[in-house]
Amino acid sequence: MNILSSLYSLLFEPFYEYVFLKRALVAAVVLSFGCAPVGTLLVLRRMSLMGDALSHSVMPGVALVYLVAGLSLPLMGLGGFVAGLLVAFLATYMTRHTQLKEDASFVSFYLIALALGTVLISMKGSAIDLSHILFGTILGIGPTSLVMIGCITTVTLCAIACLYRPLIVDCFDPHYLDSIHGKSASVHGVFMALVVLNMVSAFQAMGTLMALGLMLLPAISARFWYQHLTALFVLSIFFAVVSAWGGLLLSFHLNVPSGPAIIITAAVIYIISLVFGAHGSLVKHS
Amino acid sequence: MIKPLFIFLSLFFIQTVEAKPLVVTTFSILKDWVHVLAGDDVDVISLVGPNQDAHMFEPKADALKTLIKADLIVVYGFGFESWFERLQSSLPPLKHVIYATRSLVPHQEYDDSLGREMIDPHGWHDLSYAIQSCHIIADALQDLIPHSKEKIIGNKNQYIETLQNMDKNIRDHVKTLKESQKIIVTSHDGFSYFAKAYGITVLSLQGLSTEGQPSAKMMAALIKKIKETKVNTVFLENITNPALISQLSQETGAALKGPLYSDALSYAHEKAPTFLDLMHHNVGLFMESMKTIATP
Repeated sequence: MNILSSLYSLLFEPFYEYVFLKRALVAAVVLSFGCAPVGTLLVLRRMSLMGDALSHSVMPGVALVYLVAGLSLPLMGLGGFVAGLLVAFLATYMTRHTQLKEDASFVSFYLIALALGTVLISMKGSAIDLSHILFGTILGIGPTSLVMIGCITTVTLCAIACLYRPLIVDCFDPHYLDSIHGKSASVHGVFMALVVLNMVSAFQAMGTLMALGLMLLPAISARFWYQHLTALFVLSIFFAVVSAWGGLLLSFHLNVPSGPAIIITAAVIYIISLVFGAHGSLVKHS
Repeated sequence: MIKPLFIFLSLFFIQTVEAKPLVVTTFSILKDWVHVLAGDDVDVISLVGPNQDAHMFEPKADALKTLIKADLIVVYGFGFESWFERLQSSLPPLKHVIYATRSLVPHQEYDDSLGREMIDPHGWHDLSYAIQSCHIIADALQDLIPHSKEKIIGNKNQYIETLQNMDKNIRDHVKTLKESQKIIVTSHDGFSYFAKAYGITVLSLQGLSTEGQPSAKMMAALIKKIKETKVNTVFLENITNPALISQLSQETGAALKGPLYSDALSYAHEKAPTFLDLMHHNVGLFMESMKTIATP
């Protein structure tokens, strides 16, 4: 009985006792349901680093909107979304119409966005240092943010469900998709939009730096255990949820900042998978 | 043809007669003090403006240019302007840099969110420190513009009298409070000097600098403490992100009031454009909050 009750107070009680922690957990779990599948697709398409570029392009959009319209999370989200989408669109367009390859194209445009954003921000001057805005914190999620995260996750899951086959085929053989449907470009576009959307959703909870972690680390870890696609989706979501839960507990019991704590938990899961995973890990080479 | 050309070229050699020396201060409170002491006899520029966060200030080329032109540079000290030390290493030696806290002893605090002992820089909230700083700045100004010596001393004495009256006022008000009422909750730990000067407890979410990120443990501890002590107001500040303190307010039922002005003055049309207004505004909010704490 004693072990059970101390386990309870260690693992569950904090969330019952404090509303902010409960909210943080809910936000993180809902986020996971949106981010993890998108992350899995990113990993399958070998676009993990592109995700990093996209996360940096969201930031200038958010910051610019903050300077113009003040602290309005929906508007800031919109600004970030537009900025990210713009960079994604430009990068993809240039890849198809010039000699640029996709990675160079993305990097060049996100750097331009970042630099422009920084200059514009510094010209206007900041009333509150922008890092306070950009390092969103999961402990301060308000009702508006929760609703926003919920909507974005719903849209993401619906989009993936409706476009499941084209999305997957586009991962592995875009030319085949082109020959059947002739619309692989638009599927790619929808996917990019989903990535940016989830990035925007995550930035206010984790900040633009950590948002990518929740998207990619669980997805990367999942690949060490299963090859089957549905399993990958489910396991990545599970890993993300466990990271969120574990990270928040870490922050609660050991006084670690919450965003990094979640990423550290995800990293621990990753390292265990890397070393001991069932497929292609350090221990099992097959 | 030659004559107009000559006149045109000579324009480059006319020096505008600069009657007023340029004083550059690091942040807005210092600028206010220089203005009070020397009035229109000097031009004052503050590098960190109103409502801006001096902890995380990143100076641009403009700041460097201004510093080089300055006849007197007033820095607060106590580690408040860490960026200034870095600046100095990349500039030619600056003339006439004075520290408004020269020979003053800072408080040391254990900062939870950064996990170590830190020097608390927010000395200006303790009026005795503010008075000392005014003496130091007044001396420097007298060296700068000796012909205005009497004026500066006159301004200084008047201002110090005002500050002393304010100090006495605050002490009188605090005397009317019960021990259990003397608690304030703020966003970051910027009011420790005020607290120590007047025997009040200040609880906050972020540590001494706005750089630290609070953990869930710190939030939980603060929530528990607020509920225990029955504090019914938590304060926003002009330089911090309101998200966390709003969450605190929602969970504990404490009212969200403010903003408090801790590290910077406000814009001219807001509530704290001068140091006196800043103190007046903050103290007013504090007293209101403390008086209404239910006592057993």
